[in-house]
Amino acid sequence: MQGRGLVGLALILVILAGVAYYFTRVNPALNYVHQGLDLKGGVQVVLQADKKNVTLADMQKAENIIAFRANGFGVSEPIIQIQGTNQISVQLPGIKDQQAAIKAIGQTAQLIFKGPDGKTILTGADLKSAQAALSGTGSASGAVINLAFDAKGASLFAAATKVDVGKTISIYLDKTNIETATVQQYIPNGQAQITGIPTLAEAQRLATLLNSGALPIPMKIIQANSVSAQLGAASIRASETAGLIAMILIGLFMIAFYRFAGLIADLALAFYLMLFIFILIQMKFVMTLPSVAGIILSAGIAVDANVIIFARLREEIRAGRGLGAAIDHGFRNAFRAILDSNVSTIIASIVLYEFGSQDVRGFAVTLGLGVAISFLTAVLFTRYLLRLAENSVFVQNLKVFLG
Amino acid sequence: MRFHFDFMGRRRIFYVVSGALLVVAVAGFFIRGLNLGIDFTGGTQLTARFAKPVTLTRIDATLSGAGVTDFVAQFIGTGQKEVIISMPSMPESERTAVFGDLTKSVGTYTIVSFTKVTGSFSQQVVQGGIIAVILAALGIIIYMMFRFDLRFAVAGIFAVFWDAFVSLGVVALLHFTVNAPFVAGVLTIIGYSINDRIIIFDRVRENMKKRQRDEPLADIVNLSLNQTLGRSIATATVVILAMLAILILGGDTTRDLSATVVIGVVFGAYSSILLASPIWFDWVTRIEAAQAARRQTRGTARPRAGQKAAALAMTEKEEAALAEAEESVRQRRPLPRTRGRHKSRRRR
Repeated sequence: MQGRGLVGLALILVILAGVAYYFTRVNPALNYVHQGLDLKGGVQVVLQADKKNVTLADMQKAENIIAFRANGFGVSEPIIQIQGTNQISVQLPGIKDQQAAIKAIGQTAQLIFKGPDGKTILTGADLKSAQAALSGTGSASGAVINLAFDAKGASLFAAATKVDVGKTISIYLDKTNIETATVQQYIPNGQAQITGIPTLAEAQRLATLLNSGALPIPMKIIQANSVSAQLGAASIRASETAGLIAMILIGLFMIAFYRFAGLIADLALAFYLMLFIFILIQMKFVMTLPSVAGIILSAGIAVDANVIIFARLREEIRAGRGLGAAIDHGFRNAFRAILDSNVSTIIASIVLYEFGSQDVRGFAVTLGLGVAISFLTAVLFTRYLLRLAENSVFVQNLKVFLG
Repeated sequence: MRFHFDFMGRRRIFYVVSGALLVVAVAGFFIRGLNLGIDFTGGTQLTARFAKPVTLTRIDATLSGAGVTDFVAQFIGTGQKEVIISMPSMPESERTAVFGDLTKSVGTYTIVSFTKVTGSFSQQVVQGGIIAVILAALGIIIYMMFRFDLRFAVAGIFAVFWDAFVSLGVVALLHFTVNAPFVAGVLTIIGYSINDRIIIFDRVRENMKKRQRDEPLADIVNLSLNQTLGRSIATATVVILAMLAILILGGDTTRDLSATVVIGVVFGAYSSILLASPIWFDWVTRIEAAQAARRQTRGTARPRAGQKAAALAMTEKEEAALAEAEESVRQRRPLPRTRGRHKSRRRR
């Protein structure tokens, strides 16, 4: 099967060239992956309570609400701190539009439903959830927000709609009338809809604001600025160099330890990194220090998978099998261990993502994703390459092949 | 087999070592305490506007020189003139000295604001993180109960937590400054630890299936550990090599983080072999002893049932041995071809 071996060699060379070009010329890790506040900086906004004598409890409540909003607007890893007695400093990475950011987090978001007599029926405090949606029927098409009230809100709303059929109810957000609608019928189930919102994005913004609840105190923006990375620039450069040298050391170690098979593992690792970075760019993932740690750990697990496979191959060959049979058996046995370890790691990352804070989430995403990718590259891709190599002229000597 | 080491015979020594390490770690944790940085404790934030553009490298060097151990300097706005410096709260006299040093070695500046800030990492975040880790551990225990069994799962996760605690204790003893990146370090240690445990337990599980009748449990565990030792050494070397490169060359910010991971990986490799496996071994030994004892007492008290059980147990074992023999025969002389021939004959 000389031909197949040659095709394999050609494939390897093409991939090597591609990887080399990709990492030296395109440099995707630095140029295209979004970096978080700790690595790159972002927008800093300082809000100040627009009221005298605020309590610490109110400030903490406001801090939590702002954190909820920042997360709701898809900002990864915001940093929110109480500053002095009446200020909150918010740092938002990856935000290009400063104005949008300010709008997203600083609004008081006091929702009020008023009856035809101008009396308050209920407020945002009686809301259970708000959800943005598109309603696509005729003239009423456009974005809407579906509101669900809690038990108290539902009974208040039911009472009002029973009395006011045919009359109007007005909805105010921060004292601005956003909708006035005629009550068509009695609504006992605590469901309402705000219609006529120009875009879905706007509806989503409002829904997030409503879900986060109103700020306990009105706040005004006193400062909005861009800030540089938290980790020193020199330190980041040093870490990049260190990371590159670490990769080279791993590559050399694998070749020293496993010879030709080690080279295959290195190739699989390079392929893994390339694929991983490509996916991160596509996801518009915001990279932070914890997520870099997740990448390093998953790279370690990828290398470990190859180490496990090669250790098995050696065992099988020592037990007297030929290379072909050794690859069969070695993979079958190694596969089970790698699968169990990978699935456990992925389960752990899903749980960490579901229940963890932003820092933990960044780590969980890169770890879980990295392990899934490494399963493709370190197991399937490696097996493919080993199979090709097995049939090629290069593998006459097992010592050269596996060390 | 290239290594022959009787791990199980020496397990009492390793229990003592593991216990001692845990005691030292707990002591370090509670007596010395974690050296929490400004991300956790908060501190003061200085916004300074310099007269001329400055570099953060210069500011970093000046603050380090002034003995400030834990700080973050960031540019604000454009022009490299305005800087936010977060640092721990300190007495008036020290602060004045630091401010003076900044003027001397960086340049003249005016103070735009100087305020107290809370930590960006609240107690809530840390507690949430701990709960997330515990839930993740539960998830893995459930998965391992399906793929392995309860004993593997519990012994494995116990050792994972041991790794995390001992590493935390060592970090406390070494007095590394614990800031936000440290969380990533602990998670990395736990992740590595889980992976390592499963790889080794997988081999134990595999060898248990091949176990011969009356083969001592200790032999199985020792064999498995010796078989995986080459892999354990290679993998730990790879990770430590990479981390040492980052430790030595990576600069201040990542130094403590990578040192923490190196510590964790060393303990992780240790505990897979010398803690998780012995715990599993002792647990299963006890169960097997209890089973044997029950079989014996039953044998004297209710001879018929006992005999039946013993006979059943034997048949099970014999069946396993038979299956094993069949398996080995199949592996040496590939059966599929023979089977294929039979089929084709039948077809004809």
